[in-house]
Amino acid sequence: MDLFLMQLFNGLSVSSILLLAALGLAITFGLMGIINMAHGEFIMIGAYTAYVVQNIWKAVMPENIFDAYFFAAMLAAFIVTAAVGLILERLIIRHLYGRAIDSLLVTWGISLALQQTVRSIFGPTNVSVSAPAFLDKNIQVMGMFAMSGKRLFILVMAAVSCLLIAVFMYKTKQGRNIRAAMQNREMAASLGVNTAKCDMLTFAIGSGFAGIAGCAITFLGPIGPTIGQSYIVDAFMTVVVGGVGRIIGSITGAAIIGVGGPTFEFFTSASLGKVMIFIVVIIILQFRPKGIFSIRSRALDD
Amino acid sequence: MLELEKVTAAYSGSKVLFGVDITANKGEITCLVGRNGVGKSTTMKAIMGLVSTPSGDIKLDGKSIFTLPTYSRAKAGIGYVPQGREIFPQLTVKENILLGMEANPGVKEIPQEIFETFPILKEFLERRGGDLSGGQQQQLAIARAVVSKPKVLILDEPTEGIQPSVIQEIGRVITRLKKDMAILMVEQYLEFVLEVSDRCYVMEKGRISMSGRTDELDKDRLQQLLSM
Ligand SMILES: Nc1ncnc2c1ncn2[C@@H]1O[C@H](COP(=O)(O)OP(=O)(O)O)[C@@H](O)[C@H]1O
Ligand SMILES: [Mg+2]
Repeated sequence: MDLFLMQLFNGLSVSSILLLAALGLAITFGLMGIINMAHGEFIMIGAYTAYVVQNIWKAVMPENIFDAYFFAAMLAAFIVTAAVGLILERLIIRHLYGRAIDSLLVTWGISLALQQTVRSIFGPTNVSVSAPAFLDKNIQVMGMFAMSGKRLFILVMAAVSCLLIAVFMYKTKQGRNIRAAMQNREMAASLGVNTAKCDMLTFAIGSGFAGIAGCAITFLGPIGPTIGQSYIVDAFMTVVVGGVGRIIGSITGAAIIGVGGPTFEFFTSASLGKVMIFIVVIIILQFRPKGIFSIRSRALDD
Repeated sequence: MLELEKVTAAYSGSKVLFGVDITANKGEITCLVGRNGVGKSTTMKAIMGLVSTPSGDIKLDGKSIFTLPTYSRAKAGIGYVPQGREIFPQLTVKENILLGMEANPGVKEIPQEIFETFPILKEFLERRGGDLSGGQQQQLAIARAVVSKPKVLILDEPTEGIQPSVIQEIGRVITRLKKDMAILMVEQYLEFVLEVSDRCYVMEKGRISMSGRTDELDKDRLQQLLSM
């Protein structure tokens, strides 16, 4: 029982990392229709940003506030990846709207280039970031079941990120403009919405959340230039299963894949668990080809 | 005042408009009529910058807006009610109206007059646009276009697929609005055109074939041009 609870909690924390990784994709892929293969590399850039911030912090800040580096790292990871996303959008992506296959190829190229760039700067070997000490503690819940502070923190980060995105998209003027532009570009423009600016901002924000995800995965182990690759497939699966265009869909998708994967693995074996989660995804898509929470509307039907 | 001068327009290379001249004055309702597929909607899209316009000029109160992007034309003072209304179905009625205010930063709150004009919108403020009936959506589309107090209002077939009582209502509303703005309306419903318009342009195959004050137009010829 304890073991199962533990497994469930670990599953939830895998979900929350997937969710963080997928949130950005839910925006750039789900909302904008860009298949961004470089999204994994944005995660990687976020992770390396955390690494750099930590080293700078170590060098210049007094030791007793070392743990606070993490908040600076998160902010920096968001800003750096958002900036990288913004530059890419302006230079390349904006020429690819509505061209899914082209965007796939081009962003795949970008992903390789970003990996190589990071490899040249930081070397091919993995680097580690030490998590703040207060997260190293485990929280004893009952019997054998203890929650790792790091994983709990990631869970909270994912929840806060969802909340921030929801508030931005549904409660602010800019969010309203973005939703309008994603539903009907021509009409939004006809009402005075600068849709090119919306695209830019939307893509930058989606990329920024990949950076936050990257920051979170530095807790889980060493990071290398190809770390993004291990998340990209699951992240896309999360968005597709959940349904394109809805944050609630991505949350559900992340829950299914994040909790389902480890649960199957618990009852069978690692590779069989992976196979079974793929089968579940395929079955879901058989019944809901557009994902669980697809938007049924005129805007998306045609 | 809105002036189109020798405007041409094309969809991916194939020309649809061949030099269209139209003037819409403040204080008047100007109608653009013509059979299906002659290029009326394209003319509206040309005004908004939603279709490529290789040559010509479009002026708003004497200033050219011809090279401006779509959103700047809206900000310059053109309110657009497109054919098919194009309400954002996933957004609430209120959000749809708030989007209409994007064009004019001077308008900070939803003007209450709009609910006196269209009381139904106040009642449905929190409903999603997609859940409204056709007539209600048309009222919302007009409200959304006029909350920014535009200099020119352009409407594309506002009576299409709408019950007669709402058509009458729309007629009253635009007649009231014309003292504040120039109104250019594409319309197929001839009776309605004759009732509300001050000036008329007839379009055939991407060209204006006849124009003049509505009360001076040859009604028989107009009927003939539209019916065939
Ligand atoms: N998006 C488009 N792409 C290509 N051709 C179009 C498009 N929209 C309209 N057309 C063509 O342009 C012509 C004029 O269309 P339109 O302006 O919609 O006519 P109207 O509004 O007068 O019925 C038609 O022949 C139509 O087939
Ligand atoms: Mg038309």
